[in-house]
Amino acid sequence: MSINTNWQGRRCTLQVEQEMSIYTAATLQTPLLEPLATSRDLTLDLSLVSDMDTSGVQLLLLLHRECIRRQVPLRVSAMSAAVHEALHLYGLLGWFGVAETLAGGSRA
Amino acid sequence: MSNTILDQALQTFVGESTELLAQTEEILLALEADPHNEEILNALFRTVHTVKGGAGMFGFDAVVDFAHIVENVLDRLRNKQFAFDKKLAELLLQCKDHLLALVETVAVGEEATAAVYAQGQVLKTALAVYTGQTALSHPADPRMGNSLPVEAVASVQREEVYVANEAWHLSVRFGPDVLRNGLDPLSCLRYLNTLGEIVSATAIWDSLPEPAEFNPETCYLGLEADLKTNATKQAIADAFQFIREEIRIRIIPPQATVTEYLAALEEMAGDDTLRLGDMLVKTGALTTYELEETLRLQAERGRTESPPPRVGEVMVENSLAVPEIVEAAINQQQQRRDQAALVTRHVRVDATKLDRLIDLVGELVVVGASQGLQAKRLGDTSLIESASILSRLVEEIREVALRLRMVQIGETFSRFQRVVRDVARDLEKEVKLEVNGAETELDKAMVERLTDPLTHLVRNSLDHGIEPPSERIAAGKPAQGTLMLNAFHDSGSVVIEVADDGRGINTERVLAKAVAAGLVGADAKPSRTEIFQFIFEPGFTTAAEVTDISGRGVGMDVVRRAVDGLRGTIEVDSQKGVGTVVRVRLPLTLAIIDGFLVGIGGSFYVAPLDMVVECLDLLDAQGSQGQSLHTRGYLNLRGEVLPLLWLRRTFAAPDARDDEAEIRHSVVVVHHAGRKAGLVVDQLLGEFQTVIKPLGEVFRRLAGISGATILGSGEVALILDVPALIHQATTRNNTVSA
Amino acid sequence: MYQLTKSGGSGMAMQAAAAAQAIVEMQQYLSFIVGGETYALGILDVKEIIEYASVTRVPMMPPTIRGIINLRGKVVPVIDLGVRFKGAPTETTRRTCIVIVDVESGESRHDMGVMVEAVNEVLDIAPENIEPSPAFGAAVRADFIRGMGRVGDHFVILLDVRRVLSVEELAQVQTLAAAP
Repeated sequence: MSINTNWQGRRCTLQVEQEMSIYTAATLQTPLLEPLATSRDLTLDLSLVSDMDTSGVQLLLLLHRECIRRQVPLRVSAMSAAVHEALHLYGLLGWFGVAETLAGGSRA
Repeated sequence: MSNTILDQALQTFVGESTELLAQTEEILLALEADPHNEEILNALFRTVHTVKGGAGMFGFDAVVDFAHIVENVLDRLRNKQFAFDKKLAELLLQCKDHLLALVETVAVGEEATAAVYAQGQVLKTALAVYTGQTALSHPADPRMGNSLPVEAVASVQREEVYVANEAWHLSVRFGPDVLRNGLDPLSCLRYLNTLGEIVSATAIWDSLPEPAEFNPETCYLGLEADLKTNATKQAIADAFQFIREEIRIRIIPPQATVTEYLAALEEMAGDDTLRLGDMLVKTGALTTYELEETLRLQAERGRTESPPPRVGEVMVENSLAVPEIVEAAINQQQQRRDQAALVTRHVRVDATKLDRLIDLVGELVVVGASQGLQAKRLGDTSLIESASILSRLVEEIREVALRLRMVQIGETFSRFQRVVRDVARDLEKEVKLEVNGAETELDKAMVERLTDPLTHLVRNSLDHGIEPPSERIAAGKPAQGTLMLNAFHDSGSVVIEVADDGRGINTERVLAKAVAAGLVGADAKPSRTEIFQFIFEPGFTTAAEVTDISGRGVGMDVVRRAVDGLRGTIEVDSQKGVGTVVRVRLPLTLAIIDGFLVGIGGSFYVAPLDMVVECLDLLDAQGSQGQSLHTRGYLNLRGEVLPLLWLRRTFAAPDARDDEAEIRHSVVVVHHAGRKAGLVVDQLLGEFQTVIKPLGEVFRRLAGISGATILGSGEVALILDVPALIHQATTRNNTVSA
Repeated sequence: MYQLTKSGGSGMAMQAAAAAQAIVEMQQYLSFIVGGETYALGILDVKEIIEYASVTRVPMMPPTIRGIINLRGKVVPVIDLGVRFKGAPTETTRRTCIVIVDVESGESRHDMGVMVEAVNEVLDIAPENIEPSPAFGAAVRADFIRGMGRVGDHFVILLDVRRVLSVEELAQVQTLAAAP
């Protein structure tokens, strides 16, 4: 399983355990979006994402937008360097709520 | 620019504005319910702004003026200068109605009527309370008053406003296929980062579709970035050279003019300049003032011109665009709208539901045919008539249902960009992929089952067909090889070709191998076509040396089996040193065909109608050609030799020979892949809608019969495998088969 | 009270055990006649029995394959057991029937029709009344026989449907027959 889904009541934590790239995006879409139907609170753990390309970024944006629409809070609890770099290059770090903790490090 | 384009553009504008204003009403109502929601307010701003922008393009001053005032009010509302209350909601609703009235008058080329004019004045007075301006500041103006500060207009008209930003600004939109083609825009950004400092970057992701429409392999992103660098514009552009053909990019030097930004805004954002404008302010590319100037300039352009037709001229005069570009832009706008309309009308349906529908329609066809037969038997005129109406409707349903399953081959083809690129790189070959006929449609089920065999063929071409660059140059060919994927319709079939300009197949070596493998006798003299068919024999799959010699062979039997399973045929043509074409010919659909029903020895058979050329009476056709009818293996058909296949004998019908002499035989002339043959049958029974039923495993080796179908009477008829029968007729002396 | 519960419980258990036993013991078989001999198939393999009518001959097929029929919109092959067993085609009479059998082939299941001279009856044969097939001297190929069922004072051949209707073999037969 490439995504670990952890429910605590209606809070859901998703841990992605593989690269988020063009090779995996198709298989990740459903498991990433599925919990939205029932979740009240979504946390993403991206610390094990070994690689992220533009399609991975897009997937996160899609999830982000859907969360806004459904008013489900989305938090990224941790991200790997690969995820951080991709989001940074696209100027998206701020969108996922971890800008302060990590952005400084990467810019230095 | 022709008038029709203008007319179209005008219609587009009116249609779009009407739509937008209807939206405005919805948005206003939503805002009333949720007055502090900034998203909704922004949406409201956008719709009004878009109407204004459109009107400006056509020089519809009245619309522009009025919309501008409304916009001002909304801007102040956004800046929280006052609250959104019932009164304002009411006023804005009236404004929306007024805008609609204005659009509707200008669309038909009229000046606003007195009543509309008066209403405009009333509303402006009311709006002035919010804008802090006097609406009737130019009472002498008999038309809609110009309520913009005159100085601002003048400043835009007379001198360019320069932007303070010291960084280069990059506005990039990535093409949808970038990712699929194995290119990751991220790597361009990484490279940019080495050129200087990306002071700000903002992904543009407004075009992300609904989750159901989201294709993870399609790129929807764009980027607005500010780059501080000493590099030249060319150097910056080079960062994107690998994806050059798949992106739209605009690079604006530091301290550019507002005009340049405007051009970029319009090029990149289309209708949504405002949203993008906001973003540019946020990223620091533009100051708020600069943005206002830019947007004002955009509005001005409409105002300074007299009424339509003016579309592109405005832009051209400001040297923003050449007429062709404007024309292209209008087309693009139209396309975008068409696409948007398509997207909203799409419904995702579970494929199994679709299949179930097709199955049911198939049953309906059978029952309908049976009912028609019964009606005829009963001879009841009104029943016959209603049965014929029913069958016509069923026919229509059938066509619609089948079309539901048709998809374009293009998407499948485009996947190969990646395959070609990766395999070529691994093999250190240079290969470009050319795709023709991507819009060709075929059954979805078929497309799915085609992917694997096609991949196989493409890999084979890359692996064994196309030579390494050095070998190609030595052979006087360009270093880069070409792989072509072609699709087209040909007489009721879909033909898919995988062609390369590689080294071709060495027929002698294939023949030698076939002899060695016992596929053919040592003294046989097979034709080129037959030699190529050996490649598809299972015996050729494992022999590695054949691969080396012939450049073909690995798993081609697997490909053929897949194609057979789709009721298709496969053939190869190759010229040594020039290239190879593998041609796969497939039926349009898997489920139902139009058939031609014939009787042979008391049984019924169906020939696919698209393969039937004509029907002849054997005696008539025979004419004075002499020689006993029943021993002939061919017929002189208008000077052409037509090989005959006596199906009674071929099929060893039980009562064959007994009454053969008495039967007045008919010939069904069939064709396939450029070859013809005459099938001699007992009776011609006419066209018949044929729902194909598979025959099952027990009959999998049966040649000459491709399936079964159920007649209206409930009896089973067999479907003739015409390609196999033609092959038999043309390659064998079949006059005596017993 | 205790007594009652206990005896009641054991009584029910006994009944259940007896019922299970019965299912195992009272295996049912459909018996029919092919070439004058009586054979039987496990009733669980049989889907239905239909009258023999309008079988469409499939050309170039060996005589084992009698043809195909329309079974409520599905095309189902019909095997002539007379040919399969002894090479003698079954004559069609008023009593001729087609037994539709559910056959498992690889991962897929499909229907096949078995043409028989006549269907007799459904027999209850307990496992202890089934004897192994004789090594030789049987009326049909030994591997077609699952066992010999004793009914009264005579034996019925219980057929192994997977062997008799082996798709592999039937398709094989046809390849041989199709060879020139």
